[in-house]
Amino acid sequence: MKAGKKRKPVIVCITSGKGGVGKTFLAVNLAAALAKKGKKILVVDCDFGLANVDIMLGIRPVRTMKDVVFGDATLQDVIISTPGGFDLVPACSGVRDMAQLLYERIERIKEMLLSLENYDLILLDTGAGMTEVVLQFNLLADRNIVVINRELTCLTDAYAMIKVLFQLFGRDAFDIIVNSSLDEKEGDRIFRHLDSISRRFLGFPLTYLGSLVHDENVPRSIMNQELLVTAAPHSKNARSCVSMAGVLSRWRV
Amino acid sequence: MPDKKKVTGKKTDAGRKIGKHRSIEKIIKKNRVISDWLREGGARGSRLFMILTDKPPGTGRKKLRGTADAVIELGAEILARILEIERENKHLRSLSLTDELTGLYNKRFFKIQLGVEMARSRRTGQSFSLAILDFDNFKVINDNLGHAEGDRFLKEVGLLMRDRLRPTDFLCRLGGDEFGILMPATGLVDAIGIARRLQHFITDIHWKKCLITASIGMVEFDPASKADLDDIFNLADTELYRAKKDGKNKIAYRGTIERRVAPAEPVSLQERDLLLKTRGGIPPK
Repeated sequence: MKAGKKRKPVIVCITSGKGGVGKTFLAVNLAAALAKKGKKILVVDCDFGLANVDIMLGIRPVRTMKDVVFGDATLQDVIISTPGGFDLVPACSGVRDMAQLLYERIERIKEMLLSLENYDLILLDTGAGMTEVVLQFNLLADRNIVVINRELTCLTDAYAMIKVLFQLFGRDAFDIIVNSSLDEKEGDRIFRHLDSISRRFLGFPLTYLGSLVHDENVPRSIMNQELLVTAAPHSKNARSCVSMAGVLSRWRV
Repeated sequence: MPDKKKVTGKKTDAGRKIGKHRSIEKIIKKNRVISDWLREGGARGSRLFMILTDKPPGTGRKKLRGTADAVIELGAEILARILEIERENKHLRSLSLTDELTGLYNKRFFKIQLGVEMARSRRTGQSFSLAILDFDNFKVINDNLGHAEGDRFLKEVGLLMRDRLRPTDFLCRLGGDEFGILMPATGLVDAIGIARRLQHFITDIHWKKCLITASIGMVEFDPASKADLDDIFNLADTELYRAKKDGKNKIAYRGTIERRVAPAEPVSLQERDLLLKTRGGIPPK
C-alpha cells in the first residue's frame, strides 16, 4: 500500500447460522478491544428486523438503518459513537419489511459501506438464519468469521452456512471462533472436528481464531449492558478477545 | 540457379573475418533464415550489419562496404525466395493460436472461442461469463527487475493461474500483462467466485519482494442479447477500467447477481453424521 494513500477498511462479517451463539457479544467486545488498540472501528448491526447491538451496549439510537433504507439518510448520518470507543450503525426492531430487504436496497447499502474510508475495520454483525440479507453481507465482506459453540445444532448450522457460502459465492476462507467451550482444549477439539469435515467434503481448511470459555462474567456483563473487555478486563475471555483483536488488526484488504 | 553470388567480408572489431566464402545459397536451400547464417558467422553477442543487394553494386560497392560489416550480392531469384520465406513465417505466426511467451492461448484464439461460446449460448440458452484480468503494478517488476524477469513472471504466473481454473475454462494472454478468461456455461455468481479465488492467489504472490495485485472486469453473456463479439469484449474491458479506477485490486462486473433458489447440494447425510460424531470432542451434558 502506498504511503499517504488512505487505506480502505477491511470488512469483516460475523455469522453463525444458529442464533444465540454469541455473534453480537463477540462483535462488540472485539470492536472495543480493537478500539483500545487505537483502531478506528465501525460496527454495523445487520440484523435489520431485530436489532441487538444497541441493547447490548445500553444505548438508545434515534436514527437507525431504517432511515437509510426507507428515508434519504446516508450511513454517515446514522453513525453514532458508543461507550466502547467504536462507532455503530444501529438497526431497528419490529419493522417487518426490513427483514425482507430487496436486492436493490442491499446494493445501495453495500455501496455506501464500500465508500466509507475513515475506518480501519468494519464489523458486520449479521442475524441468525440463512436469509438473503445474511448471505449478501457475507458476500460483501473481505473476511468471514463463523462463530460456533459446543452445541451440536450449532455445529451443523455453521457447517451448512460455510457450505452454502462456498457453493454460492466460492468463498473458501473462514475464520472460526469457538464460544462458551468448557476449556481451551475443548475449543481446539471442536475446531479441529469442523476443520477435518471441511477439508474432507469441501476441500479447504478453516482458520482458527480462538475460543472463549464458559464464564459467569459473560452473562453478567450482558445483563448489565456492559462490555466484558471494560467490565472485567482481566478475565480469561476478555484477554482472549484482546488477542483475537490483535489478529484482526493485522488483516488487510 | 542464380547468376552470381558473392559474399565479401571485412574485419570486425574482434578482428574476425565474417562471411567470407560462405555460400548463401547453401543456407537458403536448407530453408534456414539469415539469422542462422549470422550465428555461424560470428561470435556470440557480436552485432553485424549486413547489406543484401540484388544489383551489382558497381561503383557504389566500395561505399557500401565501408558502411556495413558485409555486403552480400545475390541473384533476384534468391532474394525473392528469402522474401517468400519471411512472408510464410509471418503468415504462420498469424495462424498460431498460442502465445509465444507463456504457451497459453493467444488473443486470436480468445476471439474465435468467444464467437463459439456466443453461438453455443444462443443455441442452448445457457449463459457464459467472460473476464479480463490485468496486473495492477506489473510495471514495477519490469522497471525494478528488468524485462526478462517480467517475462518470467508472466510465464510462471500465467501457468499457475491456469492450474487454478477449471479444466473447461480458457485462459488466454491477450497481450502485455492482460489475460482473458472464458468460462463456458458459467453464471456470474460462479464466475465471480472463480475470479475472486484467482485474485486471492495473485495477492499472495511475493515476486522477489514485489507485491502484485490484479484488477478484473467481468461480464455475463445473456443468450437473448444481440450483442456481437466486439460488444461483449468491450463491455468486459469497460468493467476492467472501472475496477482500475475504483482503486485497483478489484473485481468489477456487469449484470445482476441472480439469487439462486437453493444451493446446488445440501448438507449430505454423511456430512451430517460425521458432524454429529463428536469423537469425545463435545462431552454430553
